[in-house]
Amino acid sequence: MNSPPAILNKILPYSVVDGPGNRLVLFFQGCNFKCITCHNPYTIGVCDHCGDCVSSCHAGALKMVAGKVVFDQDSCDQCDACLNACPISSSPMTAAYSVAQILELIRKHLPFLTGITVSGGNQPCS
Amino acid sequence: MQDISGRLSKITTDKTLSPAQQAHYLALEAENSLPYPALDADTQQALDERVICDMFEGHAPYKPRYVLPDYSKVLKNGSEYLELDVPRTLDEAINTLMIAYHHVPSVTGMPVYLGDLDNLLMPFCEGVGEEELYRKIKLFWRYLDRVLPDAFMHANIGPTDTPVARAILRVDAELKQIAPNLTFLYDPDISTQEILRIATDNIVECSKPHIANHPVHAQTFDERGYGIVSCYNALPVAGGSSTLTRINLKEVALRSKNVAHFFDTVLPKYIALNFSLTKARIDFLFNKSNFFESFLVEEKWIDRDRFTAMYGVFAMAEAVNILQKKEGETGVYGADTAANSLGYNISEFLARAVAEQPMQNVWRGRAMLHAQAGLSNDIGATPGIRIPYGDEPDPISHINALAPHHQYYSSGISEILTMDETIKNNPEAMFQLCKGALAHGFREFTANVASNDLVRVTGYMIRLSDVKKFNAQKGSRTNTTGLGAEAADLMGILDRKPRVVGHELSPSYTE
Repeated sequence: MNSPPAILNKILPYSVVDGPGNRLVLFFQGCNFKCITCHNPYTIGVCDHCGDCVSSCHAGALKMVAGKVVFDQDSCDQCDACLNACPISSSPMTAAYSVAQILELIRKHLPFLTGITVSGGNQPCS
Repeated sequence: MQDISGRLSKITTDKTLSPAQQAHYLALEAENSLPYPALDADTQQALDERVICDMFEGHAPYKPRYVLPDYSKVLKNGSEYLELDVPRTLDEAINTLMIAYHHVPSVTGMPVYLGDLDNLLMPFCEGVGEEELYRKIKLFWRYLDRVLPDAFMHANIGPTDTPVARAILRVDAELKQIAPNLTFLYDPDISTQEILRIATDNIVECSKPHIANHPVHAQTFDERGYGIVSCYNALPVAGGSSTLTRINLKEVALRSKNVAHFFDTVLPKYIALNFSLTKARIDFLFNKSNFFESFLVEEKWIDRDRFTAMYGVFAMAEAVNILQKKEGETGVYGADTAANSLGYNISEFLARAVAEQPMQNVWRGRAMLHAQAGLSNDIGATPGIRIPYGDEPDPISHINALAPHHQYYSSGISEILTMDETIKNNPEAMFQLCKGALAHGFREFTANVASNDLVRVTGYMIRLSDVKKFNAQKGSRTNTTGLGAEAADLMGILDRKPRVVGHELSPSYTE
């Protein structure tokens, strides 16, 4: 499949609060609504690699490499300082997934799942 | 250690114990004043250092640890010894069982197995309406909790969806009693989805029942069947287990220089010593105690050839973490792939050692490996192969990390998954998690729900409100509350996030 990858802010394999039964939740990054009451405003913007967040990271989990912000999950201690530093309500703590990768993940968890919940940003924007 | 008369005197004046509980502890002290079955010096030393452990079962094993009678014998034939006619009605059948339970010994002095109650009672249910059945089961359940107040006492139902199984689930959720403990045997080809859903809704309501993976257990045993008793122990029906001994894997790891030394030298040494301890106890039971002269054998409730030996291990998590450190690795048990793999290798090694060791007076001539769920005074040692309290990942990662162990522990293994109370608004999630865990090869699915008063400690139930009362020095009607209170005290289970700890029983008197 050659479809473009999706940017995901977070994947939860276990959630009992996002629909009936146990849900696998995909939090997409990027939304065109920009509601002022948004619960997760850091999922609104899509990162433009301005690099403003890099200096805010005390854990050294963010670096500029060839003009792109690169995120190292293992170093991150989830202090969320980068979210406050972001000028466009985005997050550097995201990852790109292909449809095939998402399907593989879902298959792995299938016996535990009642369904999939798509959440976070607005899917077509990511 | 006080002298014996001092200890006896303390028991007789302990205001938190009922006279029956005092009598039980006095009997234990008397038994333990006898000499232990003869052990060689190395075994004795390993036992003294508690690298191997006899669960403090007592010095003179005059009865098997767990007895699982085939109650269908007394229901079909009555009993000459007990002067019981063959029961004809449901009332007579329940009454016969109530009498039978009093004649079944075990390590706790109370029966640990109440039978596969739906199969036993269904033949007596013709013409009995749903409400009538419910009322009779409710009285039966009240009797069990009040007269045999021990949460190691265990009833089984399933896999077939029957009116008796449904009545039991209805009563159990309504009464929320500590006793009896309950297991539903689930088989996706036999059980209806509806009854599994009733069972998992009950877990949300009162943390009971356990759900057992019936196809996996059925394959392990034979056509005479198995029962789940006490804390997740899977044992042959019409038999049971003579003894339960266990190796503290943490202590074995501490005595090893590195992983190779652990596998090549130290673990094999303690495996052999634990076999020698097991053998000494079984020899006494079979060759000296005269237990098998009982009417239980004569009337075929039990068969002397159907008693296994449970070969237990615990503190896998600590052992893996210690060995990882000795190898200069940082990954911890439960979270890291390499650490988890080391754990699987240890389980496989143990299973092979147990399968290769012939045993006399043991069902099928081999012991059965068991992930032992702890004693109330195990400090710094996590039950069985569980992930230490507080380090548990989300329930699905938790299940994935531990599922590969389950194939090795034929006489029982357990995790307790703790769910946030938000699951109360979404019980379908419990149903789905249960099915997922069993599909991944879990032999048992057990869950606690935060905020329930009735919670599981190791495998048995306690009411948190009872522990508070017990600690106010009022004592408790039920035997296990004291154990839960001791665990709460020693291990801080009630301060911790709602995760229940392991300790199977408090085997001797402690002030």
